[in-house]
Amino acid sequence: MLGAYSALSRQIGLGTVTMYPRTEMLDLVMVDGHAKGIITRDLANGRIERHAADAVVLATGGYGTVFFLSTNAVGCNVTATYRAHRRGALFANPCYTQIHPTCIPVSGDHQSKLTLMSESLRNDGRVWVPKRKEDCGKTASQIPESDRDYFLERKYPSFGNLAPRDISSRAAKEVCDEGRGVGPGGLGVYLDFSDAIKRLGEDKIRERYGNLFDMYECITGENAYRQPMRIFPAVHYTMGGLWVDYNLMSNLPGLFVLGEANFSDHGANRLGASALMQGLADGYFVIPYTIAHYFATSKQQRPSTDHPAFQQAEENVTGMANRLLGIKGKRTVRSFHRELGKLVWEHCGMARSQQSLEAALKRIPELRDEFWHNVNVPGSGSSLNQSLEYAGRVADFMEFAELLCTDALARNESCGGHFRVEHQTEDGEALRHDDQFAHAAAWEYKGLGKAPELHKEPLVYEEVHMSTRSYK
Amino acid sequence: MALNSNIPSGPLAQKWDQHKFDLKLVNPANKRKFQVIVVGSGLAGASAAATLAELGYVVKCFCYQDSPRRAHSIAAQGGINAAKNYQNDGDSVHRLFYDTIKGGDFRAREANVYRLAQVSVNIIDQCVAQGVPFAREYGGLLDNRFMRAARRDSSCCSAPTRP
Repeated sequence: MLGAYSALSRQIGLGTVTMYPRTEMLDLVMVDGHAKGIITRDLANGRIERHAADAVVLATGGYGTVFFLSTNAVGCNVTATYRAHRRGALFANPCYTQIHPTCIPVSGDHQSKLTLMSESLRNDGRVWVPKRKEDCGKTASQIPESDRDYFLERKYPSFGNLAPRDISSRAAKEVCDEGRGVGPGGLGVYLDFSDAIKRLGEDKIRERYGNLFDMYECITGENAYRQPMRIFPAVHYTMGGLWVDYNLMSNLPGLFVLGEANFSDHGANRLGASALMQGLADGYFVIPYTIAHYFATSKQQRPSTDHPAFQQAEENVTGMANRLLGIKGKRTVRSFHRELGKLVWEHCGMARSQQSLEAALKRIPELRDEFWHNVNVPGSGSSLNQSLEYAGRVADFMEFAELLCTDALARNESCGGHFRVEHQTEDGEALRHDDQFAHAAAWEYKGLGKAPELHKEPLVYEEVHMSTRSYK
Repeated sequence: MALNSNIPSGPLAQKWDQHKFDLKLVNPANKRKFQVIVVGSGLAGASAAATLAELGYVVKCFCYQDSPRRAHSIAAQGGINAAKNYQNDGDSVHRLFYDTIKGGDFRAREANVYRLAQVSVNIIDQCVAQGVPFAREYGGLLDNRFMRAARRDSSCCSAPTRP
């Protein structure tokens, strides 16, 4: 990030990039079927602006905060990609969400975000829970080696503690569901460094992970050199995103989508350290070639911002803001976001079923309806107004959550981060159905309250043979 | 609506090189006539905006944060995958490609993933050239570690975990 940022800063200094910080994209402008501009709101003074261009590149990240609690920054949101979706861009595979196994457990209702402990800790830490439920109340040091269940090493002897994220998360959930979780509420497993400290010495561990151990101590008040860390899975990354072709262009000509915001490279589960790889690959090495081809072949004129399409999009943005400000209801935006997030986490989180998804799909429109009648957004649109910014983002999540659950219901198989309890092997591993679901599911927006239309892109493998993933 | 993924024909390992050759170019002198909006300034947005600007396009970059440096990507300090095979332990583009496809439970587009594995090698060089403070061995070589659910001792360069 520092490298990309300094490269960007250098161009800003040279005057080749004009930077607009504190500015949020609120609509995409389509002219003659091509993406030719955006409508933005200056967050500092509320000014709505129109920007025209020859192409629009979205690199706006994922939608993990639909779950409210996640390791994402609190400000992360789906607004840019969702509003492009409303303008016709297809949204692909929204049900592929990644739950990271190595996060600090939730400590109470007051929290607004979760903290990730790096995956690299699983290089030297060993994950375990007590073999017997009755031992969960004891401290780790009171539980002898013979009463500990190193469940990842037991289930996946060859990959052990470094089994992929979806597998490790689900295994942690299973032992907690069995009542063997540790810490408050039984929602946690131990990540134990005592063997590594014995083998390598505390100094070596401090050298490798000292910053993480310090961070852990600041948050939990526990010293992980003396007692095992407690960790629990949390939402971390979203593999789904706007559909793009090989050139990273969406189905809307001129609209390119890069990084986590697109759907293209990680399938149903992303491997550790691959998000940086994809974001930088897309930005440094792919888009420079493919955008030139679009310019050289499309021959579209850049429209003036007086074009009626800009007028219409701007009215759309101001109309939505005025509607939100005019509700003057009783509940805060945050309380709606928290309720929606909890609903999505419980019904469409680490394990999903037809029943849970149908319940969510019934409840989400009700909650959305309540939001549009009872949310309280104080202040005005013509100045700094963080409630208004947040309300717009949560309004999009209220629609997006429905798309997420619709996709999860339609994908009647288990794969990667998408685990449908109806589809598992005897050992509780994900069971794919390649005959029916070897496709990317790209959804087309058909209007609020209307069912989105599914388009399938078949996945054809020329080189690799589709096999059952096994990390045993 | 028919989805056209525009995957180039030809053998998997040659698709991207051939495609780059087949793509039309914009004359360097004409690049300044094209304006590009980039929304987002994280790894993908910042690298795209910087590269497109350096090529000569006129770029506007937007972010909701106070500064592009505040993008959530700044939290990504665990490392970056790349098929560098510094440690001679059998890493390769094909292996990174296969690990990624398999890790994604065979639900990703094969041609995109292969290209990703191919250019991963360039990313490290690009980052080093830009002065990214990767963790290093005592002798100055980039430090590697095991990360992506693959049974080798190392498969990626670690990023600045120790600022």
